[in-house]
Amino acid sequence: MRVKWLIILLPSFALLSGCWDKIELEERGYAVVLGLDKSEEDHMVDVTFQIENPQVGSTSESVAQSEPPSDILTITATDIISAKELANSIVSREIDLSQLQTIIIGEEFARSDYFNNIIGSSIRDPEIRRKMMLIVSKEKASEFIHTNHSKLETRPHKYYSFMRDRWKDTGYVPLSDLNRYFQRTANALFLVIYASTEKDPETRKSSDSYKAGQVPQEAGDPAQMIGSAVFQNGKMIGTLTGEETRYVLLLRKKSIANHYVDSFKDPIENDRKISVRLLKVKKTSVKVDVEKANPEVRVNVPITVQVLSSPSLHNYANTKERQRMLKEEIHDDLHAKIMKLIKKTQEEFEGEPFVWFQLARREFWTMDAYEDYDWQKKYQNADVQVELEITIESFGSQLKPPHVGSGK
Amino acid sequence: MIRINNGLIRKRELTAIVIFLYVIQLMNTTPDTLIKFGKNAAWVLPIISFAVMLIPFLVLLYIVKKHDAGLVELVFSLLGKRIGSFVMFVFFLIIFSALMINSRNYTDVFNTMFYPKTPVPYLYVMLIGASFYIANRGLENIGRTAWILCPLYLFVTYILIFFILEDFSLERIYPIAGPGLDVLLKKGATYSSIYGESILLLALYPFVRKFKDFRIGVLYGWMIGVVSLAFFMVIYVSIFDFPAVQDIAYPFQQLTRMATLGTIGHLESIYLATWTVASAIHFSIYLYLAAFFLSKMLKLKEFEPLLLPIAGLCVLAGLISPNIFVGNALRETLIQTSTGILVLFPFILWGIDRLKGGKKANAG
Repeated sequence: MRVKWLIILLPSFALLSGCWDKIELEERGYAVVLGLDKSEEDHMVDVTFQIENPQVGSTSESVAQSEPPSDILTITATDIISAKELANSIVSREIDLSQLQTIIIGEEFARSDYFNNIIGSSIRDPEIRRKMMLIVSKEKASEFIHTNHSKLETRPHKYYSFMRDRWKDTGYVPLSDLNRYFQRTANALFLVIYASTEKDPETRKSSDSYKAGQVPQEAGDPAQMIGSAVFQNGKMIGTLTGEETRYVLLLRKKSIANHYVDSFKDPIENDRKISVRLLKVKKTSVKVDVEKANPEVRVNVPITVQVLSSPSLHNYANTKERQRMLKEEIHDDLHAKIMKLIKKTQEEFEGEPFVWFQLARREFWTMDAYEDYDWQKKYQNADVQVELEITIESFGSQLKPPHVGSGK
Repeated sequence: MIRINNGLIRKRELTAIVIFLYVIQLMNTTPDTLIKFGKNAAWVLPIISFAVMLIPFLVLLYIVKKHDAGLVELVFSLLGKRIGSFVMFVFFLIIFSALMINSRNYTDVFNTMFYPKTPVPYLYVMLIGASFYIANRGLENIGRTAWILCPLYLFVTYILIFFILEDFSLERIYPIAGPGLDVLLKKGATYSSIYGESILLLALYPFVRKFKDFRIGVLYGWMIGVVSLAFFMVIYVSIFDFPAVQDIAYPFQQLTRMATLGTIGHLESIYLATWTVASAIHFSIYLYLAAFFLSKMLKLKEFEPLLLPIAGLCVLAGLISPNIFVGNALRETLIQTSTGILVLFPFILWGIDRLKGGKKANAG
């Protein structure tokens, strides 16, 4: 008799053991975007959850036609986890962060001292993954999430995952995730994607030197993501424009965005522009010399250029002289802007976003020696020289500009 | 070919056993402990520990070969019955406390990372229960289970590198000497008993077919273990970077959470499965050794009946420690004390052997 009971009971122990942490798919509410804002009270944070409705965009949409694709709510709490707990007093489904990929931080909160505490403590929870993407929004994160409804993507997680891929193509924003934040915050400047839904087109500038909200735009999706927020020691200290962000990526030894389209002054007709695609085929080589009183940094950036369009309709392909002119123009323009950016990081931010600290570290024998050297401080007086190696690779699919009338 | 089951294990089974004994260290809290002292150069520590532990192992191997007897028989014949029993007790204590502390740590990792709502005692009973089930079927079965699963286990472990390649940068392991060469050497030596089981494995010599099988089997598995741990230590530092890597509790589990295969995320479920099976095999070896030493101390003919009480005692004792930080502190103390014992013991045995051998030669 006893043996019979044992035979029944023992397998049930093994089979039912998963029931403590069981997850009913029906009862889950998957938060796909999380917003963090400064709260009016001290040591509190406003946490905004955007919870996706799995019925929208699926075959069961017909039963839930009146439901919106997502639900947004904001909770004031001491940290993310307790906010999640509190949110469940409102939301009928259990909030699940396992599909969360994007964290949006309001600029005001990012600039406060409390930001590092919230992010640093949130990583303790295994539900917060180190691959989560960070975005700083110019306005409050809750406003950003409420306004940001893409017309092409009904489901918010798709929007962010597609945008992430576009960023690799344009290089206007850095790739910023939690793991990179923890890697760099102690050593150097850390760049975070800068975004905004507020338009500020008055400060229209030439070419690409826009920040989020400054891109001249009519109609279309409300959110602009361009430029980067600069973090130092776990706190936001400034911003870079989209163009400057590109140069930062260009100067890094290993960067994920390796090609983008840029425009330069036409060397013959100075008031026109010429559009080219810049490719970084090889790695940037960086040499750091820490022997001298002020460190020396020698950077060599190999750039391959593909000419895409020249509205002035001058033919740059046919003579060597014209190719040289174009090359020089690109070189001088890029070089001046890059040097300006380096100066800005040395004087304004007092640190480097180029991940050169990793290369400086190579020069030391022990960690203590490197820490004593204090790279961030030494960098402010570093002698940085940048060399650009430009090769013009192709001139597009036309041999000559098209002939109109008598032609040139 | 159908082989007659004679209860003896072969080279490949022994290698697999040693792999499950050592390779799994890269997934538990060993990296945490080593990174604490070795900083970004922690990957050197396993190599130093291996070098330090290899010498006493070879000394003992020499004595075993000379007398063609296992560690237990040697201890009894060279040190006499009383001291022999005491030595067996010390061995049992080392293995049992390692079993108790490590299995509790594993349970805590399961609990924190995967099953936060499941009670720790339940997870613990399931883990040790599975280990007991494997151990109860004898060494040959442990060996076979290990041998069947070991290729899959190594494959799944190493393939993780490809899933996280995007975040990998070797430059992060510099400065090459980390906390300084002297610190590395000192800590590598004090923590060499992370490979202390090699010494105790010599007790299994009578169950292995040939001396050569034993020597090669253990050394192969051991070296794979050392290389894997060192290699993954490099991976941890080059993904998380120093100093952030210092603050991470379970680097391997964190890594599996970061892994993506194209757009497919959440790969940690595969790793949870392999890791669970691997840890059950890992602790079955410990259980088996603990029961073996205890039976020799008590001079029992059979030791299988001891497995269940030891497993039960392990769960009861393991549950005393309130959390993993207490467990980690205990583990460090255990590693440090057992290093001394395990490194010195082979030399003592060797000295006595020389002395006795000399007497015999004189008498003859």
